[in-house]
Amino acid sequence: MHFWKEGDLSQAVCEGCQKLVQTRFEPRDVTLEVTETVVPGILVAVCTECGEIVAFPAQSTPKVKAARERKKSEVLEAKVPIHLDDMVHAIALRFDTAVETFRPHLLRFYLREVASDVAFARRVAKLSRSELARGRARARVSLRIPESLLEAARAQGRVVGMRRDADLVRGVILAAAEDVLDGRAPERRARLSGAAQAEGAPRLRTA
Amino acid sequence: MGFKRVRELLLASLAERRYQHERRAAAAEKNLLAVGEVSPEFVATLLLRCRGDDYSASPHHFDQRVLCHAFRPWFGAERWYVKAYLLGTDAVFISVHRSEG
Repeated sequence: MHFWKEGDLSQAVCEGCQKLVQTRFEPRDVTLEVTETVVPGILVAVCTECGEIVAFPAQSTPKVKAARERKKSEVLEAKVPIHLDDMVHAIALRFDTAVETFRPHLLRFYLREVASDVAFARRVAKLSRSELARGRARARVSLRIPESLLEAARAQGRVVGMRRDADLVRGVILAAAEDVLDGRAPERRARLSGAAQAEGAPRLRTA
Repeated sequence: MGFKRVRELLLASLAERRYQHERRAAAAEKNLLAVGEVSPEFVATLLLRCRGDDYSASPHHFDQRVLCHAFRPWFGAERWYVKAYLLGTDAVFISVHRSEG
């Protein structure tokens, strides 16, 4: 797979100069016009004659895509009882990772599981109605989540009887606690461990 | 350079990620490969679905020395439009989107 470096030279047709020009790869902020997304500091091909951006390389597309997804993401907010927040802390501790950075990954991971698997969604719905899900909602949960994922999780939630975001959040926290702390789902726990490890957590202890 | 050779070079540039995107269509989010809505593998699939009569070539409107290659393949019920030019073995994509007409 090819990667251009800052300072490399190439060629492309410059719209301003209206001809084929030499270009140099430089970092620039690029604004996408339809979604008004600013993609900061990506490598672009700049015309060496007029200094305008002429093109950008294939390697910059993942950053463009990520910026568009951030722009389209929504904030999911819910309040949960303190003991559910305690469970999130216990799960983070089990993975030996910082709860503040891990919490959004944990919740997005489990919301994806809800969206993808109706049987799992039914389990989460059942847990959201359980005795353990109850209690005064004092702890605030807030995370950014891609619009498409949130819509898919909400749609699946409605299918299995969870109508509020708070039900989804309570249900997935209880499912995560069962999977990770009670060892109910080793395969899912291993995948979640991969996500935690990507955040800098050590490899999961097997004992 | 004929249809098959152009397609071969574009496929190689996609596989090796030796391609760029022209700024205007990419910034307007009309080049779906540039913004990551379709993958290079999908574009390769589109190119492989083309027959010779789905292909045409014309000079770039800003520089007649640069030959642009346009492909109009069908994928399912949709017709796509892929336009690019080659600089040696590297490619610059101008358009990758569903056909508008």
